[in-house]
Formats: sequence, C-alpha cells, structure tokens
Amino acid sequence: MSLLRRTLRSSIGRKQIVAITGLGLVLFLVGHLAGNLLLLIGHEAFDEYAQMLEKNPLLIPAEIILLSMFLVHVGLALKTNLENRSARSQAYIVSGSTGKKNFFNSTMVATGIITLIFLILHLIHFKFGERPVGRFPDGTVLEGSLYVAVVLYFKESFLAVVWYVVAVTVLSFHVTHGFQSAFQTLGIHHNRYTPMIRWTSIGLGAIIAIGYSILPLYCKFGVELERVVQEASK
Amino acid sequence: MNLTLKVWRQKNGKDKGGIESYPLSDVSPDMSFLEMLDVLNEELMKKGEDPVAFDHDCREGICGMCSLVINGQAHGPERGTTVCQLHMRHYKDGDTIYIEPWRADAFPVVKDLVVDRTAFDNVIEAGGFISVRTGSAPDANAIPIPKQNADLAMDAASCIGCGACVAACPNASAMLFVSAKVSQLSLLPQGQPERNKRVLAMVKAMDEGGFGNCTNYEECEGACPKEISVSNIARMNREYARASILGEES
Repeated sequence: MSLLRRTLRSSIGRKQIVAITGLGLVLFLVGHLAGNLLLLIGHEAFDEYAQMLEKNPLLIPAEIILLSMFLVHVGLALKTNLENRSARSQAYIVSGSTGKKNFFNSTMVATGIITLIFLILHLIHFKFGERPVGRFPDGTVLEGSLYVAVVLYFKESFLAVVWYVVAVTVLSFHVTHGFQSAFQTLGIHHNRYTPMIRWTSIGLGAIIAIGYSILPLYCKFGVELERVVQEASK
Repeated sequence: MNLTLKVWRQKNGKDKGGIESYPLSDVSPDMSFLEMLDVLNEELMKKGEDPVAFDHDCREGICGMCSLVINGQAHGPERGTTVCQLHMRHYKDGDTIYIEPWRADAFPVVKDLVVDRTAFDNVIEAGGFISVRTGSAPDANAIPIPKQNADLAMDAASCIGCGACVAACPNASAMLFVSAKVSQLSLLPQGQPERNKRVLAMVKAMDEGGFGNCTNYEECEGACPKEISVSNIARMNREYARASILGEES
C-alpha cells in the first residue's frame, strides 16, 4: 500500500497530517502578524510591504499551498471529529473529568469553525474588497492603498473592531491547544522539552491574541484618516 | 452508612437499558466498592430479583477485569486505583452514586455493567507479542538493557488492559492502551525484529475496532489505574510515523 493511502486511512496518519498542516498555518499566522504590524509604522511601510507581496510572482503558488494546507487541515480534522462523535453513540448519564480536560482542548472544533467563518469574511473584506480613497489631516490623498482600506474598514464600524478582537482571541485559543498537541501527535515528547513546548504554545496564543487585536484597535482609535467620496469617478 | 445507588441495568446487548435506583443501608466504610455491590446483589437475590452483573476477578487491582464508571469517572474518584481497590470510606452517609458501564461503541454492553472488550484482544492478536522462541526465563542481565529503557518498558507493561482509558476519553479512543503495548515491546531488544510491522498492525486493528481518535485531552492518563503516561502515545505516534516511512520490513 502506498505511503499516502496508508497514512490517509489510519487514524494516526490523518492526525499527523492535521498536525503538520496546523504547524504550517501557525508559521503563516506569525509571518502575517509580523507583516501586518507594519501598519503601526505608517502607510508607506505597510503599502510598500503589501505591494512587494502583490508583485511577487511566487505569491500565487504560495497562496495555493496555503489554501491547500488549510483545506486539508479542516477536512481531516472534521473527519476525525465525526468519527469521534460516532465512537460513543450512548453518552454517560453522569459525565465526569479527571481534571485533564480543559477549556482549550475541548473547544477545538468550535474555535476552528469560528476561525473558518472569520477567514472567509477576512478574505472578502481585504483580499477581494474595495480600495477606497483616503485623506489624511495634512491633506495627503492615497488611492488604491490597502492601508486606507484596512484603516477605514475599522474606523467606520465599531462592530468590525469587536468582531476582529473576538475572532482573533478565539483563534488564539485554537493555537494554544493546537500547537502543543501537534508535537505530541508527531511523537515529539521529552521530559525536558515538552514543558517548554507547552509554555511556547501558551505564549504563541497570547502573542496572536494581543498582536492581532492591536491592529483593529489602532486603526479605530490611533489613525486620523477620512474617506474621500469621489462621485466624479463613477 | 446509607447510600442510594443508581445502577445501569440492561438485560442484554439488544435491550435499551436504563438506570434503576436501589437504596442500600448499613454499608461499612471498610468494604471495597465491589463488596458493597456484592451486598446489594445478595439483597436482590433474597428478594428474587436479578443481581447486577459486573466484571471482576482478582480484586487485587492487577487483572483489569473490573470496569465501572462511578459518578462519571472510570474506576471512581481515586487516582491510580481500580474499582476493586476503591473503598467505601471515600463516600459519606446519604451519598447518591451513579454506576455505569464503560461507554464506547467498540465495547458493547453484554449485560448491566459488563462490556465486551474483544476489541482489545484483537489489537493484541494483531501484534502485541514477539514471535521468536524465548525459551525459559533467561538469566538476569543476560541481555544488556539500559536501565531507563527497562524502567520505561516496565511502566508501559503495567497496563492491565482494563479499558478505563477508552471509557474516560471524550472520544472513546484506545490510544493509551495500544501505545502502552507498542511501547513496552519497542523499548526492549526482543521487540526489535517486528518493531515496524507490529505498530502498523496494532494501529490498524485499533482503527478497525471502532474506537475514536486521540485529540490529546489526556483524560486517559488521569483515569488509568496504572498511571500510564501519555508520553507512550507520543512514542507510538513516533513509531507509527517511522514504520510508515520505512515500511514493514526494515
């Protein structure tokens, strides 16, 4: 039997693919955060970075890889979850815990689904959304700028700010369990390093929650920018 | 002390089953949990009722037969303890105690609190052995084994195959049991010739048994009467990846 077929058929093989793609997606999250934090420096830095990515011929292949990792991660995780649900068709009348189960590891499906919804809306807003024209208080006008699009999106909707902060916090819960769980699934367990991995996992969750929450809050309260309505261009 | 027992009663695998309530008086705190059930059964038999069926054998905590979920906890509230070693001194007068069988589709209920754990036997049959002739017990230290490996193998070998890991796992996964068996043999020189073949076959048998998948809740470790560590699950994951890549024979 081929390696891929055997891996996809076995419970452990499938979870190891979920773990590898999950770690890949965490890497993306960290890189994406680092890039997005350029927003705090200013529109030149952020737009230069955005254009550098958009002009790169490797962007499309990278996006395809990212999308496939995501689809594989979600697909196999859902299959695993459906199997788990059918493995105990009659539930306990009294359900107990030995204290090992916690909020993070028992909400993976819920946090994953919320993240999926968030991601779809996120792509609609920023990847495929409009690029309005913005004017700074000093009179500078920016056209076709992603910076303007992002800042105005949050500036004009308080709900969007709340939704982003909630969604990235939920995503951080997913990463808090997922990161360390991936190492266990891949067989990496060591008395010295496993505690470090667990702390790193919590740290990563915190960085993602705080780092990504700063951005909408900064756009809402930290930037002076207004939308220029261009009736002539229509 | 006086107790109210809420016991799962089910005539056979096809019966729907349900909870029955039994008041039990004059329970001694020195009794084990199973002795308390013996008293209940004597009372039931005196009244001409069907006694509660439950699995038990050694009553010394080593055979792995007893298998009760007490108030939602496999083997009850004490850590590192089988039900037969759980004593009534951990309960107080007036307590209501729910007693249910292991719940997993891979372990169908035979009657009342007795479940069929053949799925575990199938996993062992698939690879939980070594097929070299071992002869009679060898002299101590005839085969040099590093102390830490001997300790880890011994820890894994202490698994009594009771199935509490499956019962406690929110996914009804058998990973702790299977990983203990895989670890025990993969850590020792005698287990090396069939190392790759074994883990692939045992995981396949586990998957075919209808257990759920591990999502690292680690409830199994908390419920295990032998306190088997989830580090064994990581070892099995490692062994499985290695065997998948290298193939059965190498």
